[in-house]
Amino acid sequence: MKITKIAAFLLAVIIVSLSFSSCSGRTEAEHEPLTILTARKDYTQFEKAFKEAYPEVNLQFISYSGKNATSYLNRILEAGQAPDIYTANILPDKELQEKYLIDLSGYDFSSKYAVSRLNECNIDGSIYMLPCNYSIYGIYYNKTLFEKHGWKVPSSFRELEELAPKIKAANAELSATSLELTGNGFQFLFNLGNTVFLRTPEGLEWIDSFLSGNVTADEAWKDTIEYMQKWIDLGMINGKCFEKTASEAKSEFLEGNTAFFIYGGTLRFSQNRDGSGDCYGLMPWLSEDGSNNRYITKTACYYGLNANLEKPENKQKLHDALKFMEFISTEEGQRLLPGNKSQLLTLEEGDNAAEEYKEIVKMLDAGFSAPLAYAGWEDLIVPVGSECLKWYAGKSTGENVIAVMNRALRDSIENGTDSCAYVSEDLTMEETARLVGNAFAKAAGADCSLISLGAYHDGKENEYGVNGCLWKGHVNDEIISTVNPLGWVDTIKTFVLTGREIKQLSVTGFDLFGDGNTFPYVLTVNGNANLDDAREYTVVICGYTDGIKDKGNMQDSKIIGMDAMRSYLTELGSVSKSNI
Amino acid sequence: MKGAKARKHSRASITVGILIIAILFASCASIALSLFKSVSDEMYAERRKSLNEVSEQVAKTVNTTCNYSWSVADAAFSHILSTDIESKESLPALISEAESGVYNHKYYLMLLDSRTNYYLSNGNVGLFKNIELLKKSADDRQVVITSVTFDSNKEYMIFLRRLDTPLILNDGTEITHTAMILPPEVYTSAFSCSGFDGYADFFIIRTDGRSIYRRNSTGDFKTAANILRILENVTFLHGETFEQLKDSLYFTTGESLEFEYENKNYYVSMAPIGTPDWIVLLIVPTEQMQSGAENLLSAAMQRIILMAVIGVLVAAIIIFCFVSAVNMRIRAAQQKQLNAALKKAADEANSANLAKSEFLSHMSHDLRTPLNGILGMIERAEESPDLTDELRNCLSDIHSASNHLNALINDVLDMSRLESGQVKPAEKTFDLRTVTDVCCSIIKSYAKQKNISFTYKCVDLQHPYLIGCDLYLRKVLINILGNAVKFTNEGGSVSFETEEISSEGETAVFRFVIEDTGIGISEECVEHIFEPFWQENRQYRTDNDGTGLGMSIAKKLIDKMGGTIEIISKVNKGSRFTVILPFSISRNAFAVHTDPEKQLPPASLKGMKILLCEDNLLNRDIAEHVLKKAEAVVTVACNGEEALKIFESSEIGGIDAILMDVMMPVMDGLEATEKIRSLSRPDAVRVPIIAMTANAFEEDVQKTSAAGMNEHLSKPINGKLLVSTLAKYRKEYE
Repeated sequence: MKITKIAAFLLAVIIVSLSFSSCSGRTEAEHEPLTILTARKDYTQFEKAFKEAYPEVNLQFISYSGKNATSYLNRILEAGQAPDIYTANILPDKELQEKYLIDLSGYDFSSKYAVSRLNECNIDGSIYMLPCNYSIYGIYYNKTLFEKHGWKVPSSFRELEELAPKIKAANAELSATSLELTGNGFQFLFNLGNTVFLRTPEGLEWIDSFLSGNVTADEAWKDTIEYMQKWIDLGMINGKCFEKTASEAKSEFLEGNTAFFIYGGTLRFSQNRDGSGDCYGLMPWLSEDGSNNRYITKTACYYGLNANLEKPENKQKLHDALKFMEFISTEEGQRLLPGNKSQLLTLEEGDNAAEEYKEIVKMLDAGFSAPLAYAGWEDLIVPVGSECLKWYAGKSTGENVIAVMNRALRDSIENGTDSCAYVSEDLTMEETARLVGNAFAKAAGADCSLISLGAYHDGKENEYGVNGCLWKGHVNDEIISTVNPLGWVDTIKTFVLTGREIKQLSVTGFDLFGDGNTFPYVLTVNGNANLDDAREYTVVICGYTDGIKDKGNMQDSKIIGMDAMRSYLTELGSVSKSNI
Repeated sequence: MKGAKARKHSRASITVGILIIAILFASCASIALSLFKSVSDEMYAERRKSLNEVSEQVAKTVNTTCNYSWSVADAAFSHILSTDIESKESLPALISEAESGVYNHKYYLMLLDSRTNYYLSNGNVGLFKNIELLKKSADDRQVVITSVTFDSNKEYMIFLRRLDTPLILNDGTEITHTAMILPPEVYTSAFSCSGFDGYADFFIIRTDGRSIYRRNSTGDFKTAANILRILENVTFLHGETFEQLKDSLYFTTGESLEFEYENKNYYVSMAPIGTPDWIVLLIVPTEQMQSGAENLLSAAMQRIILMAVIGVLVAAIIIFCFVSAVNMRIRAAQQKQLNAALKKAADEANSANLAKSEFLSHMSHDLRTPLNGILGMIERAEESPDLTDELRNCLSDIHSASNHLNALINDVLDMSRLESGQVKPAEKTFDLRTVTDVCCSIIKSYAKQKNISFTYKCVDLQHPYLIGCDLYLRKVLINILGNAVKFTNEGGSVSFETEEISSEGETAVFRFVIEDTGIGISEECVEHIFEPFWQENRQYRTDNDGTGLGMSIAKKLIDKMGGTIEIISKVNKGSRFTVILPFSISRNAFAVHTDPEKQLPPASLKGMKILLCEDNLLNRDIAEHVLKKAEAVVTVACNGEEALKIFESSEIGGIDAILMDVMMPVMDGLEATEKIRSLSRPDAVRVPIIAMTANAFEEDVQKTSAAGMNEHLSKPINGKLLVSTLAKYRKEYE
């Protein structure tokens, strides 16, 4: 009996001890994760390093690998749907920043940025977004090809004119021009404009006056239009990649027989990812005489915090978010941010230039740079850019571009919109995908559609599906481009598959990376009819493997997805959950 | 009543004292606090003023630096601008020359053309980055701090001036602006605040709070892109607010406020620079604001407070002493009252005691006097030859009863005196053997009468001569022996043993054992045996004569002598009384004091002239009879005055002895004796005066002795003793 009592006592002690040890072993409650939109950026390296520095802080990445990250980021802020950590490629509207973001000017990490650097972010003494790194844009050239042929990198347009025939004589292509995005079309024009007049005091004054509606573009842009025409005539900017995606244009350059690549983004300085292959260089946009060459600089990304984090129930999240901001306000943090290899730091301290940029930085220091034109031109980018793309492809003229510029500004000032429809309530991603599927199926005459969805699978994303949602408000081409998996120029592809195959695909999903971690499909069927397993159907698919491509005997409908979306939405007029 | 009033008064005094102390303390505290606050406010105002002056001075310095820089720039460029310049290629040399003209220059001079090209002395040419400064809408003269290269690590102070008239070079280049560029190491020397031991954080801000320049000295205070955003969330002191600070951005003079941030106090001071439209902002920890004078003042304040506290303490002590004194007076009065009450009680007790003594004395006298008469008459009657046997028996019975009554009176009076504590043992040297012999003698005859055998044994008597009260010892032994014989039936036995059981130093301890074969005492009765008048049962009160006080008196006397008594008894078996008494040992041999009755001189007073002074007729008659029977010549007086007169009128030596009663009217015996002794005649001192009185207590004996009497005989008088006492003073016997 006594032994039994002792044994029972010991057992109780053991149980209690284990309970305490398990309690002590258990750390504080898991921190609610901070959401952040990928926005076509690869955060895997950053995420790993950040987790090492702050293991208690959790990040939840929301995938967006759609065709217009810049516009989508602005749109979600407008809709009040920004994630906890809000990123932007371009500084959003001041009022939106004040309304939806936290003023960071009182936090000590804001002092790590150069005073003059923060001026661009200042809104009446408040700073809602912090600039991280610079992206440098110019004209890529194949250094290896140049060296091979002994060509000198031109330092003026005149030198370029002299070089061009030599390049052609060498059976090389002069230039590959990415003409997928209207924004690129707009940028190329303004980049050249910077070499002509925009980066003069008069140019700045004209911008102020024009955007206020006090002057037109006719007189000011005359020289630039003529200059651009020279570039087009030379073939430096050409339409060979018109209706091609940027990837396809890039592929042409990467083949190795093209001297120049005119691109609206940044490119690595080697042909292959591992640094092997041809070496590339970056030269500025050239002025005629070379005295006003310009690299285009742009803050790579801006980071801010959602104002909701200041609510009492989000105290822990705010604390974690401030740690995030502190981290990215260090040299280490900035070097880990996506695209860092092609960027320069903006911090007050730290060694700035990556090796490939050292020569470029010298020119930048000498003032041969211009900021990317965007802020204030938002309403003009798409119409002007579209017209520019046509012009570059020989399907329009510079004068038309000027006319579009004037008209677009007028429309913007008069609050006229190019809206084709009105979304009356916020749609989920699935609902947005259904809308897209319906539009594509109708345009292509298909029976159904399988539209894949974007998601974040440990750094892997699906750019071939619908990324993002349509929020309540007017919808125009720019907004359509944010959710349109086919972007601006890509066409709708159709497949013939049995009902069973279609249904099976809708269940299994899109195995983009062949790792079994699939991205879901949203299946829409005309009239919501049931699919007969044995019967064959014509199905529109956005996001397909080579296997499906072969199996389904893919056909190009030649219908531009953007056009299909526009037509469908115009026809609907008002979009709601009920009519999807 | 008076005591209650005194206590109430005391409490009121204490309450008042405490109130006064509290009021004093509160007054001192409030005065000290208000003084402290007043001084604190003064110090705050002084600090603000001082800090305003500092920040204004710094702002002035910055402004002066800017103005000076403008002067330098204007002077430096004046030559260039007045020169006819061929082409832009000539510009670097001209700029270099201009730079060298500035003594110990650390500035860079720059020219800008209409195409935003800049020209430096080192020949570098580039495009001016900050073209927004070149807009027509911009000021003609601007001072900015900005980066001039792509690398924003270094920010330069640029003094940019638009030329009123552009300088057209011969090659057509149009110079529109001049710029003097100060590197950070140059302008930061002006942007400093050397005071406060380097603990001041220095900012230059715009009116919206954005930092243009910041330098943190210690890093104690936070830094941020907008310092005002931090100040929005601090706690301003002295009733001031952030809005006040914000409003002061537009003041033309400096403004300083104190705030608390993360448990530390700071001062913020702002002052406008003027040109450019910047604000100097300093943040200084409050602890750095302490000046020597303030330290002194602070120390003085501390001393004042200390002295105030000491003052209050002293006041408290004084009040406490006062209250204590008042209390002491009250207590003294109370004590006095108490003493008076005690004295009164003591007086009453003494009076009661005196009354009791007087009562006892009177009782003693009033009882013994008639008893004396009774016994005297009985003795006279017994002397008659004509008595029949029956009468003789009657007289014998009357004599026994009278003796018993006498014993009873003696015992009662003794008991009363013992209880009142008035009995004071007179210690003297005596022979223990004499006392025991006397006792044995008395008891032996008593025992013989009852046919009881009596034995006595003395063991180990090393120290027979003792100092103590033999009278008490005799009384104790007589009472116990008497009881032993009394309560033993015929044929029984009583034994008496004396033993010296120990001796140490000057003290010897003796044990007296009286054992009988009597009726014994029950256990219950042993507990009560020493209670006055207690006897075991009524039967014995009749059969055995006794006062019931014997054992009580014995116990009290034993207690007085510092001894003990133990009783072992069994009913119908007998009793054993053990008395242990300590006595002091007398080292002087002592002549055996024999029983006066045994060694009486011859019973004849023939030829003696005795003056008998007795107021009681019966007693006088008895005494006269005894004297005359002894052939004395008796002269009688009825009171002391008569005795005095008789003696005065007598011949010298005509009276051989005087028998003097003590308690007499007109003049008592004591007074009469004193007067006789004070007479101038030679026999006045010598004549023997014997007290003959019913007052038989020790103090009575002392009184008579003090009055001048030679002997003291207690009533009832023993005739033989009387005669023998007088006979000692016969002339041939002397």
